[in-house]
Amino acid sequence: MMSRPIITRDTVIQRSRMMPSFPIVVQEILATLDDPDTNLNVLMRYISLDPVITARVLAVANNAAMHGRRDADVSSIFTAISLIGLGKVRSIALISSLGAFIQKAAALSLPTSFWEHSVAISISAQELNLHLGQPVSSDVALTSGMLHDMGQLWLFTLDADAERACWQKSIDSKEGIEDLEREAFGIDHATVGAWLAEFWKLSPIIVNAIQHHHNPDSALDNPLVPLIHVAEVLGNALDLGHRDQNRVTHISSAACQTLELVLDDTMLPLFGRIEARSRHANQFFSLPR
Amino acid sequence: MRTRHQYIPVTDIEPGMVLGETVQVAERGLLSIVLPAGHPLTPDNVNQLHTHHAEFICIDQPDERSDEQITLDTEQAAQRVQQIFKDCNLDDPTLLELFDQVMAYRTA
Repeated sequence: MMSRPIITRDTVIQRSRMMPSFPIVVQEILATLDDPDTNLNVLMRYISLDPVITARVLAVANNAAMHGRRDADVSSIFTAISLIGLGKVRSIALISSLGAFIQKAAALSLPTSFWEHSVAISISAQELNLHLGQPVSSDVALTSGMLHDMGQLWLFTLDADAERACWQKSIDSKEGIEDLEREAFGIDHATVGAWLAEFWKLSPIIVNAIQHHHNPDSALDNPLVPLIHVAEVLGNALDLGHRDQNRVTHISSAACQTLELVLDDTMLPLFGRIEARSRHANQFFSLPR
Repeated sequence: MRTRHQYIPVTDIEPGMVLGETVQVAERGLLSIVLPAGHPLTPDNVNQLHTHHAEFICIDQPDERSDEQITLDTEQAAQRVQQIFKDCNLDDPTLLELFDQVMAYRTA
């Protein structure tokens, strides 16, 4: 291991203050999932404050209006929500705000594949959740998928060369990225990511899922843990996102059993949906902001 | 003519494409559009799918590739799957099941 100061929870939190502010709209959306009225008001207020999210919601709504041959030019968030639905607006708000956060935090030095991988796993998590009868909320699955590798981003901002070397070695050898990070940094990205999520006041089930996404077996009582683990394995198996790093070394049988996931030909439509939606999302959200 | 079963984003759909699976789009818990498998998309259907916020559909795409090209494409797809799974232990039954399904999907 390189000689560097020990990375503690305090180190992670202090250094995270050098990252962009975590988007408040994410916490607000997740905090009000069970209250549709509050959700609508909160959503409208926060979306109106964010020009990037507003533009994307209006773009989708205008596209729908154009194909529906409506005359109106959709220019208000309220009209857009009534046209495309609250669920879709929530998804756009979550992916846009988290994506902008990741892109700002990564500055110019992180490959775009990191962002593409995050989007792919968030879609994979949402579709797997749907395939399994929604054991968790769709928005929670999406958010956890987007944030599961935030610890890598933090390690990258600490020492880009060292983290890049871990990625490369994980491709060239049989060692897992977490083991390589522990050798290089004394800590792995799952732990760092969980500390960050906790600091950002995300729910304990999301913190838990980020912490255990590579090794879910000790936390299977939280259904989000096996869901994010399997979603990432599926994303890698389908070669989505960071293509040069995609490989499958392990899938937890216990996680599959907990989810009651049957790996038979019923998976094929699921694979198709994950792949098509990931392509669609990456086309839409990688447009210049 | 041979066809390929493919899932495509709604941004890529065009009139004339034949649905490979039934399309059901639900909005706010209500089924808003149903189109059966085998149905050729009309320009109105394309508009409807956009209006109802479908994100993807499954189509049966005409496959105009030669037999040689199909063999080549299938071999390349199989090689990529093997590369992705090269460091895993396929004696693990769960991994083997996943490998088999991904291989079946990629080489279909």
